[in-house]
Amino acid sequence: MEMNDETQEFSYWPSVGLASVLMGIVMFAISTITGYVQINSEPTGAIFQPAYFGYIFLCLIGAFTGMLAVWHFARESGQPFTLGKGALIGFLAGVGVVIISSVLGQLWNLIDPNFKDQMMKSMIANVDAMSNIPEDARKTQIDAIAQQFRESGSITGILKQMAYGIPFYGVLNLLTGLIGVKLFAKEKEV
Amino acid sequence: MAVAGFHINTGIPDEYKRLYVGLLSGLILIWLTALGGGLYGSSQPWITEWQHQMFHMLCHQDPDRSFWIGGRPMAVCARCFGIYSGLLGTWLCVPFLRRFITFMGNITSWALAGALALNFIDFTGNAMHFWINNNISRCILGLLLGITAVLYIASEFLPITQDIKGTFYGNE
Repeated sequence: MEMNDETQEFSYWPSVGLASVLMGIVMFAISTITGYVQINSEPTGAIFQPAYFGYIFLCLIGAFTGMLAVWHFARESGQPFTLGKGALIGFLAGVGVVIISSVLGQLWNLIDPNFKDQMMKSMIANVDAMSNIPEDARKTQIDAIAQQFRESGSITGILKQMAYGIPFYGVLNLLTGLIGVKLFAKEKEV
Repeated sequence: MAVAGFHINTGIPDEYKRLYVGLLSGLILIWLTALGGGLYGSSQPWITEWQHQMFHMLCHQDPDRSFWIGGRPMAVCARCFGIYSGLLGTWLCVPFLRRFITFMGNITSWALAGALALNFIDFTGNAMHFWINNNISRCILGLLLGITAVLYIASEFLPITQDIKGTFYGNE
């Protein structure tokens, strides 16, 4: 691992990058696979289908990117480090995982341009099959879903998606980064 | 920590105060957002509210498994709301919990593992139809997880010094 010449300390960027890329790929893969499962299932009248629960459960893994990055840094550096550094590594890893998974999601739209459209149709079909909500409310929900999908393909939509994800993933990974310091960082010798 | 000209002894070392306040601010933001649009009188469809958008990758947001405010579901499910409430509430109390954290010692790691296990058992038991949990039980178990997670890392923020131990054991 590279050394920072000025401070003679290990750089944490490789750990941040590695954890972000790894977890970003995992999150992207799970959300894409689950997306196809939803597209190919019959509308049940519920937005939240069983496949969606699996997707959320595995997306929670993204909140542990900070811990993974801290573990890698602690293992590679073999040196004691402060809580503050662990928190920073966790936060940056959280930011990284949101960016990587969003970019991969956009790239997938180039490979399968119909994916987003099919997802939208699947969600709308589910809302349309809901019998327990009034007609007006159903129509409003369908319009809102359609507008949301239209926006998600634009630059503003992509930036909005990242802006929504970064603060929360950042804070949660900061927290798991702190837990990672306690679990994996070497104790300072007194 | 100086508030309106008063100096408050939080027991948190100077180098960690910014980290403490930063994380506290983040947790307040998360908790307020988790309450959803109902609290602010939002009129747009709840599924497209910005609060729901912010949590859509972290929580299933099933309205049947969420608490409702102002006729709208919160942006997170009951268990997640419990977790965030536990994190915020306990983090807020960290400066006042020095002796308790000293007393807890290594138990905090077991407490965190226990809370994780309880949530996993509850989730699995419900999914396999062994029992039916409800929003209150999910929220309480989530709350336990949030509390124990903060207690686990809190000792790192509050260096346990000889004087605390001396006071605690009555031989100061």
